[in-house]
Amino acid sequence: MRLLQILAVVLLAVLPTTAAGQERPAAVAVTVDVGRLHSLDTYLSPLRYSGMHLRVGFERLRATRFNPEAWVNQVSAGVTYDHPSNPAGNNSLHTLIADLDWSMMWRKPLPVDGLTVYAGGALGFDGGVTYNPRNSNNVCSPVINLQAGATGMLAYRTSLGRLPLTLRWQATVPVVGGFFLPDYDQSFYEIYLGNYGPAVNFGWWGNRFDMENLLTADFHFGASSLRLGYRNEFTTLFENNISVRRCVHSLVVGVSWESVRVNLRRADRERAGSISALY
Amino acid sequence: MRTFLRKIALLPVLAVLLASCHDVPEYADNPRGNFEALWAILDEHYCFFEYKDVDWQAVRMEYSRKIDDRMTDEELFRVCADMLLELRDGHTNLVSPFDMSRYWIWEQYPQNYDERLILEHYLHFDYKKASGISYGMLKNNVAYMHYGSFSSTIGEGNLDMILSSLSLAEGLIIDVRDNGGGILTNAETLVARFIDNPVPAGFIAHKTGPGHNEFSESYAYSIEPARGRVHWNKPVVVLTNRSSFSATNNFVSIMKTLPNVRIVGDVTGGGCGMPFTGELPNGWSVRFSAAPIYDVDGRLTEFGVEPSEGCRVDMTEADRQANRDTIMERAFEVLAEMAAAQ
Repeated sequence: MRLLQILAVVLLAVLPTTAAGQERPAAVAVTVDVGRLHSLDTYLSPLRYSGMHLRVGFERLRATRFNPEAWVNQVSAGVTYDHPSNPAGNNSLHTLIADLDWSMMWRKPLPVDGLTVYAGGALGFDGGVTYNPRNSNNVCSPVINLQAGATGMLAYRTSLGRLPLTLRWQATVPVVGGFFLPDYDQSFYEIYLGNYGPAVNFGWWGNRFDMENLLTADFHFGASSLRLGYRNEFTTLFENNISVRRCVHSLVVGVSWESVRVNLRRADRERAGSISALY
Repeated sequence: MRTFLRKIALLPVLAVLLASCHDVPEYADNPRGNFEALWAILDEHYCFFEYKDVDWQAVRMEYSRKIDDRMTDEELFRVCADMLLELRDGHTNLVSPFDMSRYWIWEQYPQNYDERLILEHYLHFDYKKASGISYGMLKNNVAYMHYGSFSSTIGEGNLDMILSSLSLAEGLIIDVRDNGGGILTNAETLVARFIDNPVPAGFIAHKTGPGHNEFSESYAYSIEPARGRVHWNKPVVVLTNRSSFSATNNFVSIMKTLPNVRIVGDVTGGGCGMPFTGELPNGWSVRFSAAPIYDVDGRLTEFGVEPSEGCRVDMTEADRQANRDTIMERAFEVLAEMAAAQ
């Protein structure tokens, strides 16, 4: 702990920090994903399912307090509902997943005007469950997943005629983590009795591979922007003799804007030029 | 340096190949494909092949010959159902939109239970119902409860009320005849009222892979007493028949180990494999035993739990004609013997 404290002090001393009064607006977006899911989870069924995918998401990108020119952090969260059906069309699954991801990226403007590259690390958590209403003791498959990996992004500021436009491609690839997956034919009754050891698994590229690609175009109409995009999520997992695969293609629609945090106890609001309707 | 970078670039590709190298076969939605899918699901997941000495490959050979791609759904169902009967398993069912295959062992034995006879001639229709339990007082100051299905969840408050209202009785009959099972935790909730200390309940295991003998280590589990709740410490008789199946079979196997409890009636129906469900390309579902539960002695009770020594009894036709339940009458005798021995 002492070593960490010393390291923090050294870092704060060496790294440039935000100048007084310098704003760090957060790029915030609220989006809805609508798409199609193709999935396989042999704990629930040997058949491949496909069907509707919905996600409501939030994203915030903000320059870091230290060295804001070079580093940004990103928080994204969402709630997903999937409703795929089997090939015969006589059974459907219900999946509800909440996800929370945090990443920190170093950024570097490239020689091409308006083009910036980002690269860094990402931490993520997914929690939820897939429910198969026709099953007996394998009635559901929990989704509990902690992961750490890499993320990279290309952003390009341009215009469409007179309309400013920001294009972005971001790819995230978890590298290691932990996830919950029952053993091959392990019942939840056995897990309830306390034998959950086989269900807690270390994840690495040898037993699971996840990747997410996000393409967005933010059309800047005044203070707010229209976000249109495409998201692809891909998971393949083989552990405990269970195969899980998940591939999602979805259209992303949302709004984005930049927000500035104003400290009302100080005179910042005058400096920020904000006009409050109440204060 | 360039070679090194190439190797690094190949890593994600290798990772995908590593993670997804397990092939999951897909079967066509035709009679042959559905038959093969059904056979494979059981081959990879069914847990009693060795215990029941079933040669599943030979079964495939025998029934595969009967598959013809021109056969109707009904004909395919009949062949598949007959194949599943080879497993002699009450937890194994093929479910189609028009039928459900079944191996219900109790259909081969006397029913040994007549609900109307009990309600009319023993309870005189003077009984109460709380959640899934019917209960009341019988002659000779004996209490009676019938738990018809462990799918009906019974609450701790319900059990407090039931056991309190029966507390003046000298003995208790728990009738689980025709209880085809349900949720195991309901069975444990009931057992917890008849113990004062944790008791070993048995062992549970599961398949860890598709091989017929790929099983986990057996995991011992026990049942805790219901602390702070109403308990029953007087003699108990549990009534059983062949329709006492699955979770009820498990309940009986645990109750049989308790010192103040006797099992009276017929052998239970068995069903000690926890069922999982799979499905075929045509949408039919199949349920099968996947995770074996062993009794406290480490034995499988797939073919039932024997009544206590000297307590196996069938209902006689003469008794039925006389509006008497032979098993109930034997329970009265056993309770009297237990009371005398105390």
